[in-house]
Amino acid sequence: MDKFTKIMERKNMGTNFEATLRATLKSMGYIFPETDEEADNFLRYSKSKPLPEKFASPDFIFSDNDKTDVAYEKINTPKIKETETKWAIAARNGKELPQCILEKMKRDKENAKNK
Amino acid sequence: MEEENYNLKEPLDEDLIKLIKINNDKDSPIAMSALGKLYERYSKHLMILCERTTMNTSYADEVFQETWRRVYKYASYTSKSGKFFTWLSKIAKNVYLSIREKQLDIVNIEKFDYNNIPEKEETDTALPSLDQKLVEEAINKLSPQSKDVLLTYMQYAPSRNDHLPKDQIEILKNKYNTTSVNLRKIKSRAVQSIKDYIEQHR
Repeated sequence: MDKFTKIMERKNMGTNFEATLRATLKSMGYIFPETDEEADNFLRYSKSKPLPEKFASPDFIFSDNDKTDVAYEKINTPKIKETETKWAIAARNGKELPQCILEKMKRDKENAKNK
Repeated sequence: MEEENYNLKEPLDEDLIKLIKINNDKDSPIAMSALGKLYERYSKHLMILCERTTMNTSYADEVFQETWRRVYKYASYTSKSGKFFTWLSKIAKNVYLSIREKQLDIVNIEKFDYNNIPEKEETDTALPSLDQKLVEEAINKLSPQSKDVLLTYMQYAPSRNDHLPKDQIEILKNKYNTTSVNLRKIKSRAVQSIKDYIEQHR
């Protein structure tokens, strides 16, 4: 094997290792997964741990934090029914969606299929 | 009527996003409820991803929060673009890029078009994976600087070459007061160090 071939072979080995390392790092969550396969591997292999208390619910999304650019005006919030409030609280506590919403989703899907 | 695709207790991610999209301009409990369900499913994994990629608790918190805000604001996910967590990860990456951009007031970073997500592309043949435990140990042996440089190259350099986007080179050069040549050397040494560690310990 001549010197040039040896150099190229070593270079290819290095490149292949880097590509494999990159894929492994994505699966481990050290770099952002960008394909379904990488994301699936990450979800499968990473051990989830409890969230910090401040993120126990997604309420921060609706906070008046000036960092957010979400078009969300609490001032103009319409009054919501007591039962609806309970849905939101239930959802934020990780409970099921209300049955009527699930039924509506089902109907919408069936309607879309029938069109 | 077809029933097999419906799971009323576990609605699809795509359906939850639709509920958010339809209702999120009205402070709707329906939208919040749907968001709560997605949050329950994916927030823990997203937090791990944010912590690992940013290597900085305050950045991780910021990326985590802003990612969820954008999910709620744009709610443009469809299953045609791949799985939900893949979309979430792409948003998080874009948020992190924006944060890095702000560090040096850099502009011209490619923007993520939330309303025009390309359909899922077929990926290359799957690469063999390395032993994650060994990679984890090897990564943790690197200095914070080497780890940062390596992960930045791995994240942002297109596959199989060393060409980082200019803005990312500028960030690293300023952060570590070094040259682009040295950055490539740091990255190469880090890769070699991981390779050596794996070969020695398997």
